[in-house]
Amino acid sequence: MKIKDFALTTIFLSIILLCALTPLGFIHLGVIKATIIHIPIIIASIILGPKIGAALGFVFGITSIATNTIAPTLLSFAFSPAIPVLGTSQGSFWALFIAIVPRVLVGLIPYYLYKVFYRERTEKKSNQKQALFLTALLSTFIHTFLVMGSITLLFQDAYAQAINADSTSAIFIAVLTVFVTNGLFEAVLAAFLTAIIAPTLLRISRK
Amino acid sequence: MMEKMIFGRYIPGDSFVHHLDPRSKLVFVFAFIIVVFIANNTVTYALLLAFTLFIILVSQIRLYFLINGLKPILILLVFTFLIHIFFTREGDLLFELGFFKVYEEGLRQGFYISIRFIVLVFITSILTLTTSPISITDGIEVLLNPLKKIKVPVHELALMMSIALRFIPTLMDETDKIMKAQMARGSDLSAGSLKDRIKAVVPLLVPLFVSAFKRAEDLAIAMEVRGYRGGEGRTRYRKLKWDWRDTVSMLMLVVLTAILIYLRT
Repeated sequence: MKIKDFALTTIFLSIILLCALTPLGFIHLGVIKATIIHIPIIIASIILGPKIGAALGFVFGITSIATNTIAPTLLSFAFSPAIPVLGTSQGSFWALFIAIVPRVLVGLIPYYLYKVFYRERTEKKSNQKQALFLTALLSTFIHTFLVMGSITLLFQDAYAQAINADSTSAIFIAVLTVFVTNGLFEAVLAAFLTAIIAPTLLRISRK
Repeated sequence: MMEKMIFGRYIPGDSFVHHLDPRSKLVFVFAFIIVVFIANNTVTYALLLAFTLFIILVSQIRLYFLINGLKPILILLVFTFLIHIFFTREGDLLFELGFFKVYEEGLRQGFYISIRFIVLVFITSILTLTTSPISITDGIEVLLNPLKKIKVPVHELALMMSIALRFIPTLMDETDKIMKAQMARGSDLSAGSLKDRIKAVVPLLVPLFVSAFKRAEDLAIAMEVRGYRGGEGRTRYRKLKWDWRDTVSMLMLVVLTAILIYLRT
């Protein structure tokens, strides 16, 4: 690994830790909390390649396990194996999967997506920004979809056991709505910010 | 801003816990998180709570800091407690108010889960309150050393982590400076619609990222000048030392586990 890449990765890591461990990384929208931690990861993946992106995503996963264990919220059982699933007394080890796999992917995918989008639009002038916009939008959607999907799949039974069957669907719809609205906002935000920030950084890093 | 951080809350001190090796503290906390799940009746939960209180006493941390750490999880605690009270239909009926029924078993489960949450939050808080982030990184590096065999660049990762942690306050200062510079130019971060606020964030983030990149370049040059070339043959500035305190704390955990296994039903 070249020292310059090492230094850049370190700085990205620092930005991610700053976002993950302080309130800076979260935008409060009333009830929902939208995160912006995946934005530096997407940018890092585009600039520094899929390997470093995936490693940074992994760190994001670890910090999310740590914060969800130390300062749990209502949905923390899905991200930390030490937090009991709502209504039961046991945590689930699938939480490790949910916390880490989608985050590693959000660092892995953008590099390839950007390559594809960029090549497709080589003729147009504003191609770079569009490609970045689409990359960030799609990556964030994949991330949210994976997190939401795996929670739905893995914790359905836990909910059904814990809460009477008729109320299961009600709570479930609530969780789903939170994730869909949250995901949409996060994706659009990530798309705009990436499209604005990344071109400058790409120019600097190629020097 | 720093005091809101989860890992940067280190309070220097001179207690038994402060003097423990970060390795033993990390192993202790991870093992303890698993041990907590052994408890399943009143005696074992009481024992866990007593043990945690004992550790708090030994660590000489003011209870204020720990109670402060509980605040954000209050909603979760209440919610879990209520779920257990309302949806458990076992044991004796304690009282009834229309469709509102409270059973003995539900009340008990609610208390158990709450104790578990409190114990977990206390123990992990004590780790971050008594260990500086740098020591935690050092400890993690040594504990992850076996992964070198499967070609995980443990040393590089740990070094990155230490540098990144060191840069966090610098980045915060930078953010603060840029924020003030933009405010001096008339940008308003706290008012307006959501769209306006997002628009106001852009002239903040771009300079922040650009200046972070410049810092990375400086760092790369500084490392190259000093002849950095990876982990092989490097000596350490901070050496970790395992002493009697660490052995005692490990033994205590083993004894606790044995007693819990004996007493659980």
